[in-house]
Amino acid sequence: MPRRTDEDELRADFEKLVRPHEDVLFAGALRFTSNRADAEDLLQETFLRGYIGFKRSQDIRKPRAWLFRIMTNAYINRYHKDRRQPTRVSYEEGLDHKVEEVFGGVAEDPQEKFFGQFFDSEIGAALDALPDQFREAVIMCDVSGLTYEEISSALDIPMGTVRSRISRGREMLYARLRNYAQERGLLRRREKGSHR
Amino acid sequence: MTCLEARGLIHGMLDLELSSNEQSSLETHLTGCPECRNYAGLFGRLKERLAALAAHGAATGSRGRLDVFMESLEPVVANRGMSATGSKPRFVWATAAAVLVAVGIFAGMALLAPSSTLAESTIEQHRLWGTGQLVLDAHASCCRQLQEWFQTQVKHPVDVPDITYDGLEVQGAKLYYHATEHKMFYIASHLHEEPVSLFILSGRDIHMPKGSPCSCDKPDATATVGPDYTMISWRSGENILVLVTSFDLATTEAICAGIR
Repeated sequence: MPRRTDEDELRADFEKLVRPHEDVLFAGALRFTSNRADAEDLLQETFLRGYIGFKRSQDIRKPRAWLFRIMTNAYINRYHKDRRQPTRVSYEEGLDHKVEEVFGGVAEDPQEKFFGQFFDSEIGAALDALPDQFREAVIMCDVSGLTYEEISSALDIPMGTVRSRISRGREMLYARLRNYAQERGLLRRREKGSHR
Repeated sequence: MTCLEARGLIHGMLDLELSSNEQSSLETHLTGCPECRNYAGLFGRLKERLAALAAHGAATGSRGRLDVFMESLEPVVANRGMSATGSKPRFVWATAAAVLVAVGIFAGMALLAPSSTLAESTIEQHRLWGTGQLVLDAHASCCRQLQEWFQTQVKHPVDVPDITYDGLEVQGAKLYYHATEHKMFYIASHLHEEPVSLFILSGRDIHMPKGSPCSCDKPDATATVGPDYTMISWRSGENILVLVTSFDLATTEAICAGIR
């Protein structure tokens, strides 16, 4: 029987490291690219870059964050060169409304009804339309299930920035969905409510 | 704490990323602020819908992407007459991948035969979010025995409503926020048309980081047999897990033994 070589061991170790994260990586790639074929390509490129890096060093302490960092960089380089610089969006601009206007007075319990009227594709489209830095954070947290620490490591930003990008990204997303629903007559414009 | 400050923290609460002090301050605010409670519910629901996108993508995607990549490395290895992953046939890896997906998507929500899938399941909180099966349910409840047992663990009173197990319509999972700072993740399904529930209790003092596998060898498990249910409870790290079934003790123990 042929003897297992160091290269074989390396490949087996890499496969063992990556296998548990294959699904969340693909889910993230799918939302990053909004295109299944591109997502497949991005994932293969992520594996390749990851394997090359793994050959240099096997000391991977946070494999999921490490893989997402590789994928994010690959996405920026390959699919998003024209938007390499993060879009600067103020909180108010991104929300279209101040937070009091958007969320004040929502005293009833409309969330089930509100979100129930959207298809996944509509929510995905609204997510795709977010500015990149918020979109990446929301995708990593909500679609791929990364912790704030993992996102911080993957995007190389402080934990506080992770937290603010996620909260602002979600609020922008909600505001977009709300506007979308209003434009199509799905949601009656609410009166402004009191706010503490 | 103002509403704006609270809303900055609510997202951290939904992601289980708050410190104990933050959690406590936020819950004090939420107690007296229906608008912020609604805000929390709204974004909890949004989080579920986003998580469902991942489940949808995984469910409709072709499998074996890592296999494809590993195979792309194969020719060099094949020339040496040896597979990079040993001598296992491809279909074995494909099958293993399919099992991983099935476990990932359905872990904790599907009712799983104790001899097969349940035994292979790893309950992961973020996976449960991923299924979109955790919903904020202010009407969820749990049994008095669970409350009493839980109180012996946390050493202070916990206001948990009674459960009526008979007639409980069990479908999907529920996330229940206690009146105190504790949370209860409630995973439920059916086995042979009989309800089975797995509770994971977590809170400011009992915290399960997102994505951490929930596993234990149940060395200190205790069993309670009621008139219409059997309950087995144990600690898993800093969390408390409770399995409730309407089966007899032997069957319940067999199911429990299958949970890693």
